[in-house]
Amino acid sequence: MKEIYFDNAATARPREEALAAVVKAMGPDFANASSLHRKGVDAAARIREAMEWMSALAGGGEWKVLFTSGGTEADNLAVLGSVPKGRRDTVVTSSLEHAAVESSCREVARRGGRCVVVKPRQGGVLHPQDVAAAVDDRTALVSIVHVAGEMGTVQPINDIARAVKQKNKKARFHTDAVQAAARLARLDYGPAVDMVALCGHKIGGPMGVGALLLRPGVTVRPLFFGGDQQEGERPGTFNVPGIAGMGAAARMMVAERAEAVPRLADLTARLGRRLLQSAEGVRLLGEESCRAPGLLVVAVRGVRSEVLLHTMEKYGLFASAGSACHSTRREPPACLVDDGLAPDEAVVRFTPGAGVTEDDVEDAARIFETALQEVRCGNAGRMK
Amino acid sequence: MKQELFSGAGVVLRLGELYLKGGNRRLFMNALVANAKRALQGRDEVRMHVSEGRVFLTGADDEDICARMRWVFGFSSYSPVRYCEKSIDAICAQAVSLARAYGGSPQTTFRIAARRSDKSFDHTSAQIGILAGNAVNEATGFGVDLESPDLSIGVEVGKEWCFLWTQQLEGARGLPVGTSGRVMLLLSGGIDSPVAGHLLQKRGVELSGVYFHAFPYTSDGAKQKVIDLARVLARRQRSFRLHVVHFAATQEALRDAAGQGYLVLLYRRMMMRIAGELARGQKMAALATGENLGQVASQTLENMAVVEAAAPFPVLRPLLTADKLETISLARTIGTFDISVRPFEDCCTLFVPPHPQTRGRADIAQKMESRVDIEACVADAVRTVEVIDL
Repeated sequence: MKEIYFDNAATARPREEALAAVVKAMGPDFANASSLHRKGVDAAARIREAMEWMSALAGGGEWKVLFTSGGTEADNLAVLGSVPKGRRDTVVTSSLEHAAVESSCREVARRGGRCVVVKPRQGGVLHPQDVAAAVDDRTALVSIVHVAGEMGTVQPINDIARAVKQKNKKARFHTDAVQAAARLARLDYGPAVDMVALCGHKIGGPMGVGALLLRPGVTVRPLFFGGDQQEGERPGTFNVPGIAGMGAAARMMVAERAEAVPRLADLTARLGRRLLQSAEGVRLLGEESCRAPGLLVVAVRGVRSEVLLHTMEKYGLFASAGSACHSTRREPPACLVDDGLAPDEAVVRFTPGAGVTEDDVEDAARIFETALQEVRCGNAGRMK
Repeated sequence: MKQELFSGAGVVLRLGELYLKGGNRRLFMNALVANAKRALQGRDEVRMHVSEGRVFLTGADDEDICARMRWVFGFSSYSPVRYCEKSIDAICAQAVSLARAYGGSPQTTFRIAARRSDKSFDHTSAQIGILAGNAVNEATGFGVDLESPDLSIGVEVGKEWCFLWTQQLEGARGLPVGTSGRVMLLLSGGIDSPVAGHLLQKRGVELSGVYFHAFPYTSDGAKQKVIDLARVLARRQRSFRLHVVHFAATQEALRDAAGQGYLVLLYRRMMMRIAGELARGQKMAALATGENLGQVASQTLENMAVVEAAAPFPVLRPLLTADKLETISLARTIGTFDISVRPFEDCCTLFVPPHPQTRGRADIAQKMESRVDIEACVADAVRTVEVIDL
């Protein structure tokens, strides 16, 4: 049976180049990047190359790159590393965030600070003035997601960052660009953006590695303590295989995205149209003009999303019900409920990758139609 | 040669009720030794001997070995031991060495509990106790307390061996797995059914399992959970065969036929038929469930009778009268609880209305079932069953 993998927002299929870089770094080039001998110097050179590719992925310009254990740690480092314990600072964030940002902002509040959550307008897009209105003199940090993984919308991140700085130029601006880096043709962060979180496995690199990019002069307090790697801001032996793999994936993404992304956007839009045609009670979420390429969030009336997902899985189509970081949660994401998701609507998220073909889109739409019909008629249990 | 067998560190295992067995004792012993050997797989340096109604391990006495022996059914208790030469001097020296290893202070109290099963040994049990006690007292200054000492040193002298111990661990008791026949256990992924399986194994039953999988209504995560539960039970057996029955289509057919809160009863009747058919194919004598009287609507006396009426074999219910907290506590002890509480659904809740029947009648269930091709459902389930050998 043909497999159609439309769950790239959970994790993307690893790139061959990334796999080769991991194998090389764990094989012949196994040395510790902090060792002073030649082999260590070679490993350190791999780290520096990866830094360059991560900067290029974020649109180029001057960045300091701190490697982390993934997007979650990068977001935690950005938020908790900017608001020292015991300070009664305010952080401003949105209701569209990944759990990593949401939970670290809640942690700031738990430690005695304040957390303000801004909601998007209809269609899941934040308005720069709404975010700026939440900022005051005590705001130490604003953290806004670039592409919202559960809503599927691209946020006007540079406009938001500028509006924030106009209100309080001392407030730091962080964006979680984990999904954005995997599906936008270009990231070009203006000077108002101070920190960017990225991760390896959404762009075709390995899991367990990510990066926090900081503008020169911006520093964060470490979350934990150890040696003097990465100037003590993020201690611990460099994960050379992971970093090399992520760097290779970033390199491929930078080389190919200008061409691959418009195609991905076209095919995603086409998938959306085909799903709408396939049955009644199906609608696409998120403001149409702001939908991210390769990220289609669909509301389906009269089914349970897990049952629909498993029925599609029976025919070889792999999708998800929302963020995998929340897959044991039973309720739909709060931001979708705020946006008008009805109690009898289930959420299914299709996230095709760059390699998607027209055939995949047609097959996926057909499987969706068949599966939905089976679930609605109550005969999904028959073996194929 | 024998001296070498029983030297250094080891573990001595004491038999439980097996000791009571008469003519069949050899059969039970063979099963017990085979099970203990299997539990030791990978620790090839450890050797096993049976002598004078005990099982002796030599070569190691570490925590891993003790943990491996914890769930070998048939042993009442076991102790890490130091073997020694069969002479009073060696016994005294070993007792002193164990007392020193204990540490303690001048306030520490001890006793020697000596047992001489070899009556030809030139000191009686009491004499051994006195001589070894004096030696320990002189060497360490520990005071003697026969009632409730801090440290109790056991000495046992047999025909072929002599050993000392300070610690007695609780064994799994019961009968060796494989000596009471084979049973098909209905595993749901909940807390109860693995515990029911454990209790049957404790009475010497060798299990196979059957799980009713409702994909796409439940996920493959639910199936993995049952596989992981079965693995825990499988560790105490030669092998464990788990049958995964694809049940969703049958559930859909029953849903369309059922009425008046009978759906769960029809599911369970069908499970009995399918499990029975699988059991028959493997020459098993009974089915088993984790059912518990009154726990849920399908587990009233009336409903259990309705379900049992469809079963081709006796249905064993080891947890029938167990208290839920006792079951949870046992599930924690045997290591299945954390697996059972993983958040996946169980197929019995599928399509089920909020008010199930609590006093079902077999004739009504049969009437509803006449709208379904029961034989075809059973045959289909058996034909498409997925077999996982653990």
